[in-house]
Amino acid sequence: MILWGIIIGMLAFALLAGGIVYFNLRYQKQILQKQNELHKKESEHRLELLKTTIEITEKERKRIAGDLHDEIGAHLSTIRMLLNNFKNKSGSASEVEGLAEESKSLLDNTISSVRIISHNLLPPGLEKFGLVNTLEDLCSSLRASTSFTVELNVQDDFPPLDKSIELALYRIAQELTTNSLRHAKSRNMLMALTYNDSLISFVFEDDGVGLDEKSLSQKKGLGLLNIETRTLALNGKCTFTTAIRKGFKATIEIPG
Amino acid sequence: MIEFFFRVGPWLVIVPLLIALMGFKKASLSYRIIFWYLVASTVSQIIAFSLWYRSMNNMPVGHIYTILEFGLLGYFYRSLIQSRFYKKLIIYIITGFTLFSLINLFFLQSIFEFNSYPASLCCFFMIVFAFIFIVKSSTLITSKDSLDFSTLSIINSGFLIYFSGSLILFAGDHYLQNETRNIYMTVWSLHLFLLDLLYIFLTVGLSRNLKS
Repeated sequence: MILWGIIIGMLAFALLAGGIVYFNLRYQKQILQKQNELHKKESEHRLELLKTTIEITEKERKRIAGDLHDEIGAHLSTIRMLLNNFKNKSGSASEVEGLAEESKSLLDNTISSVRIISHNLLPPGLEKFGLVNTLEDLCSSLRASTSFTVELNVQDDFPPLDKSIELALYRIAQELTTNSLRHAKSRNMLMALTYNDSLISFVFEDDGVGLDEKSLSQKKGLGLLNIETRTLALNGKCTFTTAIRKGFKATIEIPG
Repeated sequence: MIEFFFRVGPWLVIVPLLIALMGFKKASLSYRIIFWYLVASTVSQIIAFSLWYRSMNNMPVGHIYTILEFGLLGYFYRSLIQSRFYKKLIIYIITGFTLFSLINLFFLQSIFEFNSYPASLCCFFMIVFAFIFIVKSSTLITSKDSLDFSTLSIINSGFLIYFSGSLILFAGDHYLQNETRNIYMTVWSLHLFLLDLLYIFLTVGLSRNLKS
């Protein structure tokens, strides 16, 4: 009796252990599979972000080239033509004065265009006066040129940040406001900037048409990918919250 | 048939021992511990077999081997853990077990009889360690001194099956003393089967480690 008890006990314990081992190994295999899938998705996402960065850079270069050609190039060609006429004309003083005035006006326009193109490339106030002032300028220019309500809330003791972080946040704000104006058909925009426990938080919200959250998680537009790229480059995190007719919210968190 | 199995079965230990030897040079700490465990198993098999061949009682080998086995395997599981507290705890358990085995040897059970008390206790602790590995592996395992995770899982699975099956036999051995030799050997052949299964798991695990 005891003998059979020992034999059955041995076999039962060994089988039980075998069962536990089998299910554990199966569970580990599933976890490993999921981890591999996650790594694969992360790699694909990183590649997509890299492609986006290249695409955006090329697009920006094309835009600058176009601006330079259309604005500066055209003005300088006209000035050259005027100066040529000026050299050839042996006319009255009033004609010469007229040509000089026209050239001066074109030069002023050229200088203005250069200033605008340069400001678009890098806002001058950012280095001198910091992110908060530059964002306030951005909001002011939006209020002046549109009928939107643009609000900026900044924490009272918000500190000056590293230049690369300030530029990234400014570009993100630019991108979000541009998106809001062009696509969202919103009337109100709200931006908030806070700094707590070495974490910079930038929140953007609008009351526009919103986006389908499901399709957003599958495929983002160039602008949102650009925002993601900039955030990831600073080891930060960005979250987009949106739904059809429920507006759009972007939360950017960057370690500072 | 059983006699043949008893003569040949234990020597399966050579296979994982040779594989462990092949990878010893660049091995991690836990790998080297497994190697020394296999060395201890082989040496004790040789001594026990020699004594048996000379019709001498080979039970004393078991008393010493159990202490070595517990020490080495306890140290193996200790090498997998990051927590200082649990590392110290295992040292205390190994020390306590060694003392208990010596007390058993001198005062409780004769050196010439099977050391069922320490052997059962060894099985119990190994089952506990193996279970803790399964449950807590994601948080406890260090990557610096240990084998890779899949190798550890296979080796740990082998220990769990072997010690689970052997626990009942070791605890109930003295009830078998009154049985006939044939029955006694049949039951112990089950232990030998589990032991060979353990060596197969060790072979597979150590081979995977060699490949990677």
